[in-house]
Amino acid sequence: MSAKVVLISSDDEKFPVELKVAEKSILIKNMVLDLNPDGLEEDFEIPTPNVRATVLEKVIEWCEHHKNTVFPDEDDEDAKKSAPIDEWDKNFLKVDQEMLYEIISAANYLNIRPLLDAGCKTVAEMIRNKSPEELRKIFNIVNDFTPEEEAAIRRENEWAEDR
Amino acid sequence: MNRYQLIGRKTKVNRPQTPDYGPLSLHSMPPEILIKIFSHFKNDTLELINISLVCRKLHNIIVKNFLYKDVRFKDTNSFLKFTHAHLPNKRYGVSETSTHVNLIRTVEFVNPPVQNSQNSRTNIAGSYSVNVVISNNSVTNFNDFVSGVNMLLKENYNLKTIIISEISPQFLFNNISVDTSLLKKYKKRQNRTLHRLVIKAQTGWSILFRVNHISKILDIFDSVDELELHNFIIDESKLVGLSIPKTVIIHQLSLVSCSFTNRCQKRTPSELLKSTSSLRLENLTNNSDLSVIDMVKCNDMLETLIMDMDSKLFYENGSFNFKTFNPFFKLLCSGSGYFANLKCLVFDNFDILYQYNHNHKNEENDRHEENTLTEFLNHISKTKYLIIKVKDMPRTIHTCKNCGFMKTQDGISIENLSKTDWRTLVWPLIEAKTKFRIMSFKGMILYEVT
Repeated sequence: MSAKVVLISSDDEKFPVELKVAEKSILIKNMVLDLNPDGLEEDFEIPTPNVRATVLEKVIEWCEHHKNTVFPDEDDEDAKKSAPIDEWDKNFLKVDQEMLYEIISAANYLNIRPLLDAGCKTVAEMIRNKSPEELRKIFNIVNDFTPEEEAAIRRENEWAEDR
Repeated sequence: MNRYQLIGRKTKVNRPQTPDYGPLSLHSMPPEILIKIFSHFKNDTLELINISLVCRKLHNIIVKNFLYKDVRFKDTNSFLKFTHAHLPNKRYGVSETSTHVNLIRTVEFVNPPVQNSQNSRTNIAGSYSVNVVISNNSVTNFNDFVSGVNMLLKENYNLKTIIISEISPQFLFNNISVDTSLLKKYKKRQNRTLHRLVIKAQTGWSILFRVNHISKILDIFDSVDELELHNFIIDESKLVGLSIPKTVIIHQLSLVSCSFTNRCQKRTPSELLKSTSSLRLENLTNNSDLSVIDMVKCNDMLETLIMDMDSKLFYENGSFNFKTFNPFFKLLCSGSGYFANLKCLVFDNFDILYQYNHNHKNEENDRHEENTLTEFLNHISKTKYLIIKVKDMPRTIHTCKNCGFMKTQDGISIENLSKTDWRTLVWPLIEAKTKFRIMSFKGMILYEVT
């Protein structure tokens, strides 16, 4: 049996995964490459102190599913933004907001660009076509403007509204 | 109670407290992730405004990174609304510049208003005359527009790029200021540099370029790194006779889809371009357009020439016209005479692989090399420093084992060509020991000799 990468969550749970799966994270890929230049000969433990076990499990599930997916180059940001979210990713990210933010943070920390993109796109879809009041309600944010400040912001941005 | 305590009291307002959100809230996400999320709306101003109204933190992120970073005024009306809200204006009781003004890095004015107070006539193609009706309202608009632009440029010290697009044939700023008191003022203040100034003619028009298209900007800035003109007619006689009351340095002139006319008997350097050291020519269509190089180089400062090799001008029946242009490149790269100062040549958008001819090198065939890529490479190998940027094409190629000939085939992309492949392709440059660099359209270095 080939050697595995063992990811250790912040709450000390161990997740042995195939190298091909773990390599979806550029952080881990570089770490493995730097510390094992001749290839993995035995299990290699990597602590992920910022990621809880439940989140790490989800992230590994995503990496497992996409282990053979070839993601396009990072060059064309606009094309990537306009492309709809992959149907499997969409269902995968149907989680409560807290879990969604944890997945996004983990993808950012572990440097998994396609997962980070899908997470950000999911949040962007939650924001789309909502009034400020609706946005506050959805994201549980308190309005910390005075009424005068709010009116001033509306006034200062009037020039941009008919764009 | 001293004066400063009073100032402190005046600014104190009863502001709602920002609660302490837990770590797992949108509000608590790091700015780089919030920017990534909001960048999905970077072209949707209404969405951005809505997000900015949610809370103070989101407002700051939206204002700094989106709404006021790259600003595009799609018409005069929206620009005038902006000036009323953000720039000092006695009429509207605004005495201070808003803090947002200095956040602007790029500003675009689309279709700026024209000055004429009376109805004017314009000739299309020099023969069809068209009446242009301009109302009194637009006269006020023009004056307000110019003073707004002036104020914005003076107040914003972070501005990097100015774009004036969809310019109508009647658009001109006022003459450059010749007020001597202003000139004295210029001497006192710090030099100001603009990175890019882009001027684009209205779609479907080619407009005669005049200094008054950019005079307001030259009034404020002392140097411009790149002046880029789109769809203009460059008339040398209009540029040469011109005197500018203050020194403005234009480092690079870029001409995109511009044509060139010359009615001057004798070539003298234009004051506007007297320090220009770099010239970029894109989308060339006529032989005469190449004469613009002569116009610029007579300042004895031209060091870098960037040419769009995908221009229609260079092609005949789908192939690069080496027969016509090899003598031109021979002269250009000779490194002597008028072109002695030229230090760097950049061939942009060059489909070098497509031009490569699959002929095994044969002594007897040497005479046939006159009109080929080989001869072209021989000529350009005389240049002091050469950059070839390969055209953006999804072209894939394969290499012949015996001779190194490459042809298109699925599987190998141009980025994956080996050093041996490149050596086979550009051997005249290697034999001549030219310093050169071959780059992909993405900016990756594919082969280099230093």
